[in-house]
Amino acid sequence: MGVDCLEKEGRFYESFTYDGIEYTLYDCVYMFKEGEPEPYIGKLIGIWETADRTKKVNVQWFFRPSEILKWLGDRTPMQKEIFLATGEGIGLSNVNALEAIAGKCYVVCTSEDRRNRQPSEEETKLADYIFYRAFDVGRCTLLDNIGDSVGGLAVKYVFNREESKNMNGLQTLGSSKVDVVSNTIACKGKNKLLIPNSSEEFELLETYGHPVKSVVIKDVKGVSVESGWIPGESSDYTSGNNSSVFALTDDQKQECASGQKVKSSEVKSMMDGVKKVTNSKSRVKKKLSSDDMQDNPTKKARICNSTKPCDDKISNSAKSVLIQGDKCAFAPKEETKSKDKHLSLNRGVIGAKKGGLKDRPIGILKAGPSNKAKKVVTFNDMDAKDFIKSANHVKRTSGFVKGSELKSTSKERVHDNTRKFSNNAMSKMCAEEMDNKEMEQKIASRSNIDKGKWWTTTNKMRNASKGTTLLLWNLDPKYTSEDVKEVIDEALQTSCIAIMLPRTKISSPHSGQALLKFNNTETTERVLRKLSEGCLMLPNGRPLVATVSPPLSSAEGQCTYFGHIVIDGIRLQGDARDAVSTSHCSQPNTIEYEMAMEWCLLQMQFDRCWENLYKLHKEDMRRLKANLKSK
Amino acid sequence: MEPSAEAKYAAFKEKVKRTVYLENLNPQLTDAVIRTALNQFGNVVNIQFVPNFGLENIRYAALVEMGDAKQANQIITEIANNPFMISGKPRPVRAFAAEIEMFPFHPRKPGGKVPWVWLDKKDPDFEVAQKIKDTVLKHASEASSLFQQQLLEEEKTHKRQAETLKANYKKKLLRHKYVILDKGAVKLAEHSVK
Repeated sequence: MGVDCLEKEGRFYESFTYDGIEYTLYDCVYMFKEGEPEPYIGKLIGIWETADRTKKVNVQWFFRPSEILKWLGDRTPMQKEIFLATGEGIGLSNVNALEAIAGKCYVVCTSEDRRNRQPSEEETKLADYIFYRAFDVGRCTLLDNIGDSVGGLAVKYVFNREESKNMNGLQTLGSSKVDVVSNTIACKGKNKLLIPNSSEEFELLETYGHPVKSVVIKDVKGVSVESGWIPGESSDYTSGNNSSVFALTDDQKQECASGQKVKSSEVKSMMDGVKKVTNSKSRVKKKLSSDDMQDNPTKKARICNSTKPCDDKISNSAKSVLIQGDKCAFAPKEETKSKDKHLSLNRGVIGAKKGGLKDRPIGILKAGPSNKAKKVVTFNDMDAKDFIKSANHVKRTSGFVKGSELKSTSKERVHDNTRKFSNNAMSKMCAEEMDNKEMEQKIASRSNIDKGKWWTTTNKMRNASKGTTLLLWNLDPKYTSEDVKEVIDEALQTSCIAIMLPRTKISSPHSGQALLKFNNTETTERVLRKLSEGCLMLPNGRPLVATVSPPLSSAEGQCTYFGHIVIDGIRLQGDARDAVSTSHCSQPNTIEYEMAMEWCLLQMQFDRCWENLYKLHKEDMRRLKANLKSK
Repeated sequence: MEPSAEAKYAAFKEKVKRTVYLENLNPQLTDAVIRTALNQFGNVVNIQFVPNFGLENIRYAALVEMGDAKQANQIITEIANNPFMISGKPRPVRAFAAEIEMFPFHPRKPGGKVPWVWLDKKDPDFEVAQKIKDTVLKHASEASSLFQQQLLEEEKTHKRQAETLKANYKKKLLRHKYVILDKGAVKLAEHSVK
């Protein structure tokens, strides 16, 4: 292990290199604990060497949402969110042997505190984790605001390191203070630095990176110092602009000067290097864009799992960079995994895709090895996404060939029941013509005894005779029934009754539906025809889609509800008789509790599925809408 | 006219803050049951069942308006942390903060009408729009199939739990029988293990 720098006195350090990775004070690291599935995440707040030459680090912890679930309550944490420990007590920080460190972790602070440098979107996307809240270990509460110190740590080390916005000295080209010039191309939490050495070839120096850490990069054009992580500037990057700049605080610069791997000779070659950098960047960029599509599989395979450091040292072309617009590095990661896991399934699937789904024989649905496919939906984003992909597969309407996301790595999850359902659905789907766009709807209504002046409208809807109701799709979810009615009436010269379907927890967050009722079947048919042949466009690129809705009955039918178990027996009957309203919280020592937990788990799994499904939908729409010339 | 629409909207929004969206309810639930159940958290002002128009992808849910936002939040937190069952054992209900779109017939946000336009067939956007329309339906079918899948999983869970419960209950009956009727501890041991 190399120790790079020494402070003036004592044996405290500001940075060190361990296992080939360089760490600086206030970096975030992974600490692996035996037996724990996931490493802990901590912030280095102290590094020293004891008298007997053992190296210690003082780490202030971050909590994963799972560790503080009890105090989170209903607040769902954001994706990749972690919480910085604050307050006093056990769990704030610990001293550990340096060797317990398992890798560097890229944590971005997204707090909107004005003292915090706001990270760019790219930065946030590429970060391993984000945080903006703290958890007080003494009081076990969540703190939204960050005070002047978080668990003893000064705020400036909590927030993202200030960029050279404040540092005028770095803004000039050719400043002798600048030690290293490089491009940084990041790969999910890792920096790859291209460092010009005296021979003017580019070597890749890997550092793992919290932004604003070890290196100073000048702005090539010397105009302004950009703050941030190179990935944040990917747009600049692709436009051939200059590299972004990292600024160092003064002490760190000193460090750099004394202790970095960069040799002083490189400083001299800095000027030339700068020019070289610009050239190489455009070269790299070109190479990237051409290689991107072909290299996708390789690149994906190389996306580092953030818990273990990647150790590919690549020379200048940095093929593993995936900063290309919106195809963010994260999507491929998931796809990679699924791809690796289910390669054997893809073959059958791909065959099916090419065949055109309308004619896809049911046999292919069975083709996938069912042992793999019968996996239960586990609490894992990955599987949820796979499920969705398989669901997509099963239910795709004829002829519509989509973009890469869904196709390329979808796997067939052949579930017996799904198959049955999909068989039915498929045959129904096949039967429909593109023009009509009919959909089967299951009737499962229930009656309400409710008062409310809006109920009359609903009743009218319910009493609609056959063939006079339509379902309208692709509405902005914020519209109201009145909005819908106005639009339809004006555009189609009708007088209809419109009901905007209320949002539920499983309805799409970006698309709403409404029920329309017309006076007679002729009008309904006319409307349906007009809407399918033509395009009635609403703002934000939303053409309306109408489908036939079966007559709604206000029969005594019920929504399918599972979960209520009744046993004719002494025990339960007694309870039921005594209870006026049987509502209660279940205690952990009963069977009931276990069962309730099962339900909770199932629910959460499906929540994830829905979330992912809608995410995919949103992406689809976004891509399609991008083709619209006018909005 | 405008000010009153604004005011109405604002008032409605305030109401939304105080409302809890309760999901996964047993269809047999009545107003009274929910009221009693949630009264322990505070004052239940109003309960509105979300109308189901006979479409799929709908679950039985209710919008419960509480006295103030704090009570609403409390319910949400409590239910999030502990499985709370209302007349549906053992499936717990779920509670969320209500959103304005969850209310059927919520008042319009003051801000004018929705503009619309018929696209001309020769318009280059027409093709794109048609594609979008196709995608919309595709999405709809995907959502529908996910929902069906969810129902199936739920059914399976339900059956499985019912089985477990029945088995446990049988054991209990057996024990009951042997302990009460026959003090033979040996027989008890023999049979209760089954």
